[in-house]
Amino acid sequence: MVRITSSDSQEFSVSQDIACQSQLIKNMIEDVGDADEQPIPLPNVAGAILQKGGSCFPSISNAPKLTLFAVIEYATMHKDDPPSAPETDAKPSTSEDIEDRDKQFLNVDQGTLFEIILAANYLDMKSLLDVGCKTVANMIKGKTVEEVRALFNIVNDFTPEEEEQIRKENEWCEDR
Amino acid sequence: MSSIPPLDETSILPQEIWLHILKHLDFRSLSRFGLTSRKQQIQSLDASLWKALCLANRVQITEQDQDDPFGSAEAVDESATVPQSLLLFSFQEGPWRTNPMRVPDPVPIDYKMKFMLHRRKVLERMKRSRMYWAEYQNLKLAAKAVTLEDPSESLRRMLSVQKNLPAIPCFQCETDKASARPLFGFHRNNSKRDSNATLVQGVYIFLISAIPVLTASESDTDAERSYALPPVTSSLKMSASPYALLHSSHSETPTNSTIIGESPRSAYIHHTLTSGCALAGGMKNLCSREAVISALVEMDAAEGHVTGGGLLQFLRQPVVQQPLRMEVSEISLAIQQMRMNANGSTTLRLVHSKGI
Repeated sequence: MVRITSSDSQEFSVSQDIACQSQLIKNMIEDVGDADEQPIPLPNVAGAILQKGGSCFPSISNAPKLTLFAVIEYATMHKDDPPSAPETDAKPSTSEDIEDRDKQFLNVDQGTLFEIILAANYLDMKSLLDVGCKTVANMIKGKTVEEVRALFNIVNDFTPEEEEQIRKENEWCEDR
Repeated sequence: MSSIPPLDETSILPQEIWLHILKHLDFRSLSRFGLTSRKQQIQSLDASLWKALCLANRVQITEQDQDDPFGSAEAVDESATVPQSLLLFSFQEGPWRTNPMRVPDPVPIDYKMKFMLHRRKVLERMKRSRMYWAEYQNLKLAAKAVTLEDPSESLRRMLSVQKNLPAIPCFQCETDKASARPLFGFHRNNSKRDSNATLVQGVYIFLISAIPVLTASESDTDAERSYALPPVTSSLKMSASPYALLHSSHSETPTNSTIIGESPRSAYIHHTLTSGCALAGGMKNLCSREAVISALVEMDAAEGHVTGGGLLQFLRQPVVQQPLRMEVSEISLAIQQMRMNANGSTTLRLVHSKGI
């Protein structure tokens, strides 16, 4: 078992093969040796997202700081996955191939989703980072400019002339 | 969450994660994303994104860029797309910029520009072949409606419609013809399409040309390039040489890669069968439209593909060793046989006709 603590000092006990899906933790364990003695501090990850418990999940979407909770759940879900094949340049990644269970897992509000992505990035969990980014990409796909702005609260800081010009330059994208 | 803070939520994630997200977007969504604000505009212009799009769409990039598949391109290429004012800023910033010993950067490739030019070509071709596609879709619908009752009826219907298709010159064909006229000789001679002799000859040519074009591994580009083409025999006065097919710019034709597979060869065949270009005219005659259409329609239906998959499967079947002459009915028969062996494990047996 590996003990990890979140930024809000919650302690979690996780089995080693689950924890080691995080490259960061894996490296730490390898560097430090037996991790039973000391809990591993993860100052960048808020506690509740470490393990997104199935039953308590609805309450999690109300509380934004549950990242570590969720991440542990994801790792548990994927602990039996074969190691992912190295990405090849030739084959472009599509955002369509998200597993159903991942889709369900990431069916959370935007704030939580971003937290999870940040945690995955920090913990160096490539598959979770990928699937999170794909989810965000799918949110953007097919939306109009206005819809994307609304989605992320993006403030339009172009002057009308600039916007017109860029729109013109990108007109070819809209041709079908 | 009850109260959404009035802040730009894109700033929650750092830029490198946004790059990771944006690389999953298609060009249209990417361009729209860039239109939302200045920050997003700069992000969406990142050369690595457009480079990936270029690679995924097999855009021809002639410059020396293959040796640098990852980084550094970003830092260099930004200058190509970022507005001048920003460019100056970044030049002043880095002390390494002023090092006189520094080898000057090669002129960065503007991948977005490349992609745009490619896209324009694609659009042009799509425009030309669109009516054929529409026709084909209609045929599929018509075929589905009657297939269950009487297959021959559906075929007959399709052929009756197909006859009325006008010939639209393909821009690319016109260009190719200008530079490689002899290779396209067969088309001129095919003006009398109805004669049975032409058709048989056509089938003959199809088999000759399709075999070398299609047998190499579909996914292996290196194998594709190095694939040794058999010499075109002089007796084939009207052959569309496989060499011509391979080197024809038709290989960058408008097809949805998820539908037809990722090979430019299959894309090429697909294009020739669905567009109105000169080569297509030849190819369509070659294999007989009946065979082509029924292969597409019926196999698609059986396989549950959207479209074109059946043809691809047909063309991927193990091929006979020597060129054969086939009658139209025999092709149909072969296709039928092949459909029965749908798992692809059994060899497609082509029926020989009387002598070659």
